[in-house]
Amino acid sequence: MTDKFEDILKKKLEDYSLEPFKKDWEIIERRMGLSAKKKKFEYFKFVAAAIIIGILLSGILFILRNNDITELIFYDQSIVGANEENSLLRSLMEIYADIDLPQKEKDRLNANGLFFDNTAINFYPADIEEIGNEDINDSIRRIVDNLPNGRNNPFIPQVRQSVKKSKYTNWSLGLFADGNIGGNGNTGNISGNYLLATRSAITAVNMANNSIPKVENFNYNHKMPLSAGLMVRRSLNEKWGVETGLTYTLLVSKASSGSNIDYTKKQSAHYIGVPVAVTYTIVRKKNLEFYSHAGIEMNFNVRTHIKHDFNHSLYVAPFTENYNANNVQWSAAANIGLMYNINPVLGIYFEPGYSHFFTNDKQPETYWQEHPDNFNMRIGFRTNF
Amino acid sequence: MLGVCYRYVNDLETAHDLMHDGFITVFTKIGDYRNEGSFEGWMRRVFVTTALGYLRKYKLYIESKNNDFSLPNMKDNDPSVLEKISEQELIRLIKSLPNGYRTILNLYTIEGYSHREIAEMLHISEGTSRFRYARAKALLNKRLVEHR
Repeated sequence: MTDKFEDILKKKLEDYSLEPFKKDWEIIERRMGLSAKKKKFEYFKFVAAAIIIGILLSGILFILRNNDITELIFYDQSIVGANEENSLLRSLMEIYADIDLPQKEKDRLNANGLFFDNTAINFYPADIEEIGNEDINDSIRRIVDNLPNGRNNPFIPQVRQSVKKSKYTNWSLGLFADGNIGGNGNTGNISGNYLLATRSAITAVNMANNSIPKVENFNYNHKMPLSAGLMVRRSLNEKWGVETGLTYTLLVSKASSGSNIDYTKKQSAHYIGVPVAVTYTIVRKKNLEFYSHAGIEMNFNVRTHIKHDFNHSLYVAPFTENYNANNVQWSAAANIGLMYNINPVLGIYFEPGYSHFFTNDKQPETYWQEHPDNFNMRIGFRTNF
Repeated sequence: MLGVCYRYVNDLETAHDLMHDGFITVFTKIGDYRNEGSFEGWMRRVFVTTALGYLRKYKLYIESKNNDFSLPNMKDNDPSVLEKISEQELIRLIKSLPNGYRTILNLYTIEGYSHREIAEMLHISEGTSRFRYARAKALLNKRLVEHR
C-alpha cells in the first residue's frame, strides 16, 4: 500500500461527522444532574454513618464510665477501733485509687467526707459508697482475711444486696452470624437469555455486538443466604425491650446453560439491613435467659454483581455487570432465643427463627424471592452494660 | 464527536452512549486541560479513550480465531478507488472489518498514534499492532476491490 492510500483514507475519515440527536443533550444533562445528586447522596450517607457511629461510641463510653460503680458496700465503724479502722480504710483507699472516678464524683464524695482522711471520723456515714466490680470485692475480702484472728467478721464490708441491680441490664450489644436452616435453594430452570438480577433481557449493546451467546435455558441454583450484624438492645423493664442494629447479607446465585454452550453466570447480591424488633424475656434463671423477639427489617440492595463466563470462539471474553435495586426489600421475622451468660458481661446466644420476605418484583432474583418463607439460625455473642 | 465514536464501534446506539460518556468526562475533567495543544485535540483524545475503554472492557479488540481469510496482493492496490468512494460507503466498508483491525486502523491512520502508543493503549505488543494494521489495510483493500 502507498502513503497516498493512507492520506486519502485519513482525509475522508477525519472529516466524517454525524449529527447528534436532540435527546443526546437531554440525556447528558440528566446524567450530569444525576451524578451530582449521587455524589451529594454519597456524602450524606457518609456523614449519616459517621454521626450514627459517633452516637453509638459516645453512648457506649458514657455507659461504661457510669458503670464503674455497680455495687454498694457498707462499713460499720462503730465496731472497730480507730487504728484498725484506719488500717482497713487505708487499704480500702488503695482499692478506690484504682477506680477512675470523674472529678465531679470525687468532689461529691469529698464533700460528704467519703474519701479517706485521717482526721475524718465519719469516714463511712450512713451514706453509701459504690465501688467497682467483683475483683474489688475480692480485694476487700482479702484485706479482711489479713486482719488479726478473731476480728474478721465484724470488719467485713457488706454488699448491700437490697440495692444491687437486678439481673437484667439496660443495654446490650450483640454480634452475630446467621444462616438458613434449609441450606441452599432448589435447582430450577429459567428460559431465555436473562440476567438473574434484572429479570430483563440482556442489554441491547451486548446483544448487538454479539458479545454474549444466545442461550435459551439456564439451570439456576440460589445458595443459602449468609448474614452477619451488630445489634443493640435496650431493656425497658424486666421483661420487655427493643432492639435494632445493622445487618449484612450475601445472596449468591448461580446459573449454567442447558445447551452445549458453556455459559455460566454468578450473581452476588449484597444487602444492608436495618431491623427493628420488640423482645420479651420469658424466663431468666441463673446464667440462662430464654426470650423471644419479633419485628421487621428493611433491606437495601447496595450492590448486585453478575459475572458472565462463557467459552466459545464466536463470542468475546467473559464480562461482569453491576446492578442495584432502588427500593426496599421488607421482611418480618420472629425468633426465640436462648442465651448463656459466660460471665456478667458476656453471653453467647442461639436464635432459631422464621422470616417472611414480602414479594418485590424490583429486587434481584435471589433465594428470598424463591423462598419468601424460611427458617434461619442466628448465633452470636452479646455484651451487657 | 459522534462520528469519532461511531468509527470505533459496530452500532450507532453504542456510539451515542459513548458520546454521552465522553461529554460527561469532558465536562467533569475540563480542569485537566492544560492548554497544551488544541482543545479540540484534547476533546478528541477523551472520546477516543472512552471508546477504547468500552472496547477494552468487553475485550472487543480481541479477535475470534476465525481470521484465516485470504488477502489480495497489495501491489494491485489502486488509490483511485478510494478517492471515488463516498464517505458513507467507506465507513460501511471499515465497519465490516473485525473490531481489532478497525481499532488499529482508526488509531494509526486517523488519530495519528504510533504503533508503540497503540501497543500501550491496547495492551498488545508493537509487532501485533503492526501486523494487524497491515492486515486491516489489506482487508480494506480487498473490500474496496470487491466494491468496485
